[in-house]
Amino acid sequence: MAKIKIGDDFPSAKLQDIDGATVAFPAALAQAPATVVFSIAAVGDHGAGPR
Amino acid sequence: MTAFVYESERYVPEKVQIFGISVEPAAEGRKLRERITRDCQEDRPHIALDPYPLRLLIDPEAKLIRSVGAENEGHWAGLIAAPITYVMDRAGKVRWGYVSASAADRPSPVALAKAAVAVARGEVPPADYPGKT
Repeated sequence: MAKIKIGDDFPSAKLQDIDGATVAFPAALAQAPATVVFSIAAVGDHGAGPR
Repeated sequence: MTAFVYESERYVPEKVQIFGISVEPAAEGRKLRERITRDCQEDRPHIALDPYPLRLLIDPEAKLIRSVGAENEGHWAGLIAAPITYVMDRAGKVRWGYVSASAADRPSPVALAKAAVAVARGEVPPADYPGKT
């Protein structure tokens, strides 16, 4: 069940990209006027993102 | 998901950044990026890939995935991410969202693009392309 809703602050987290660079949220969100974040569901499910 | 890249002409002028997050190893993400790149080079040469319009992140311990409530621990493959899509503004506020009922239930790229562009312009996402949260 989703824990965030419209108007909430995006959670804090520090992740790495697939090249090893660190991306820290929410700081990364300040780098663009809008940011889309989506999940990739599962192994072999890479086609299941937005159509 | 490649729809993000194929719709990049909508996002790039507005400087919208796009992150895809997976609990899978980085190697899987690199395979995906290679596939998207090849698809664009072969079938959509008009799409600029520098800068690359999509950044793939790994969340092996599902920290962020759990923070947004998108963990799915009942999958045959183990812990995976349930499909969610959010649009945030520069201040880090969630402005649009789409919580999918299944892997096949994703926002249309047009709806997502319109919402993201509206947020980038400081506007309210259009009501005729509602999210689902």
